[in-house]
Amino acid sequence: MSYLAELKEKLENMFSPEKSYFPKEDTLSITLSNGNVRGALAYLRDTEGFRHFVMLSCVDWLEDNKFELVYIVWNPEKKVTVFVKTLIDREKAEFQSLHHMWRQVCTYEREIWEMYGINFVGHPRLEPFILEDWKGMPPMRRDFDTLHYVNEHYEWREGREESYKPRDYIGEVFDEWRKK
Amino acid sequence: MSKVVKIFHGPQHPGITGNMSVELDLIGETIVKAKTHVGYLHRAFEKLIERRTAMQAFTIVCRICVPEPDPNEENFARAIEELTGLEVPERAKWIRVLVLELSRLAAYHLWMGGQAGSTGLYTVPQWAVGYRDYILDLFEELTGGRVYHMYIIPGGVRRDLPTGFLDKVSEVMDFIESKLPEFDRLFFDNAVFKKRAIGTAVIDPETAIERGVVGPPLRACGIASDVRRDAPYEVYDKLDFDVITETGGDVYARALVRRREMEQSIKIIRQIIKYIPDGPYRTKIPYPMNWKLKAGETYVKTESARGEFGYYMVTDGSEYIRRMNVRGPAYVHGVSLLEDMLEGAQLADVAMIMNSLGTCPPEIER
Repeated sequence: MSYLAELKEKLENMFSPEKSYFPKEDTLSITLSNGNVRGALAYLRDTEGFRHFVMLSCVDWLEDNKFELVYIVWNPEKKVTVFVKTLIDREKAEFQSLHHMWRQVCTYEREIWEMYGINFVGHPRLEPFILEDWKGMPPMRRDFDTLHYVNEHYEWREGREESYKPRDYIGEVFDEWRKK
Repeated sequence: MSKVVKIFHGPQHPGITGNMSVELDLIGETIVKAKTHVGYLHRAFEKLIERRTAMQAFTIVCRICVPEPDPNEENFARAIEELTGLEVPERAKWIRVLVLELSRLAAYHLWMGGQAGSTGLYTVPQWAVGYRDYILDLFEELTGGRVYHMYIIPGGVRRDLPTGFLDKVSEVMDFIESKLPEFDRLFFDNAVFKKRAIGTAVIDPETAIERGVVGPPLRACGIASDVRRDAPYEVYDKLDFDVITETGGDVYARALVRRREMEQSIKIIRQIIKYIPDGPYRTKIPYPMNWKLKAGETYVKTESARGEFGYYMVTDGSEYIRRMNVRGPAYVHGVSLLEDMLEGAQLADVAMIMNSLGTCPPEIER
């Protein structure tokens, strides 16, 4: 049995994940309950040697009214990746901050707080990161209305209405220019 | 009594790093506290990609990192291929590695310019950026674009190598290799650079792993970690190259790692010229405007000139990508690590440290 299959069994016995499968041969993906994430990550880091924290990502599942947090860790010795995932409620978007486990998690959490509006409890520095003076809905949420935002903040440029037919548009201008 | 002065370093970029600002608290010339401010180059690529089909998104991913766009294209293409189960022809894989290594060489030349320029050695940028243009000429002939190539598409590459292209690559490699000793004399053995770089911004191996440092800064601590070796993609498992390490962990060790990796890139490119197989260069993909991507998730990574460059991609069965998240090396190096590295450093070294860590704001904020 390969290392990853063994690891899957161990994690299943310890943390009883909702779902675990292999997206590709050197990767394991497990979905845990909120309370088990920290324990699973600590186990992976300290016992199994997943010392390299790759990234923290967030996926908005608007249909299910959930946010999915994805912690990706990598084992430099065994050369395998594990996705530790957890679903949190979209209405009450809140999760514990794990910045003390890896320092760079701080930056990822700060971005997700800004872009998705997930509050990370215990985070030392939840302050604007990329956006400036942003008010209203966090922009990476899927129900953020981009067209409305553009109409509110920018002006449509004259002549761009027809831009879905660029060849015709260029043709007219070209004819006018030729007449001069 | 010491007086604290607050200044903003940037957002005009010092050398080649890109526009970001560092808020510095200084006592004399020594930094006591540094705080990064990013967001000047935010273009919301991750949001744009959610509303685009795979082929529409492919044209914008290369813009995520300006000095080195090809790892983005390769990551994106490979993620789509893994999710949809597309098989890439063998020749396309070799061409991809050729493009990736050429872009690594170009990126190292640009880095050399930035690193030397931020140390006050202004001849090196003139040379380095000039020689980089020979590589850009190759890209222009191959792809039509000098900086952004949009060449590595899902399913292969956009077009085959032009006739006689490999001979030109070979000539350019000979030329670039012949110039490397001159850079040694001018820059890497330069007393001024050595005096300023040795012992500056040291990262020890434990911290490096704990902080998620990747690429040349990690290898400069003596840890032989390279995605090309650890998780070989495309045809890197068939190529012979060394993973370069140094032990200093300082700015100078990082510079030497990059300098020696340029030789490795040339070595890889020569192998490709010699062994590239014939065959088709792309596979047929479904009609791109109505290409339903199979639901799934994947994480793909490439070794860029600055380190592990990864994409986490989720699809949900529609023709749009549900979520694509970029893990750039600069995201880790350029924000929290840079803030810590700058504490206790000299004001004059800020740009040098930023360059040495491979800070690239367009990929921090996408």
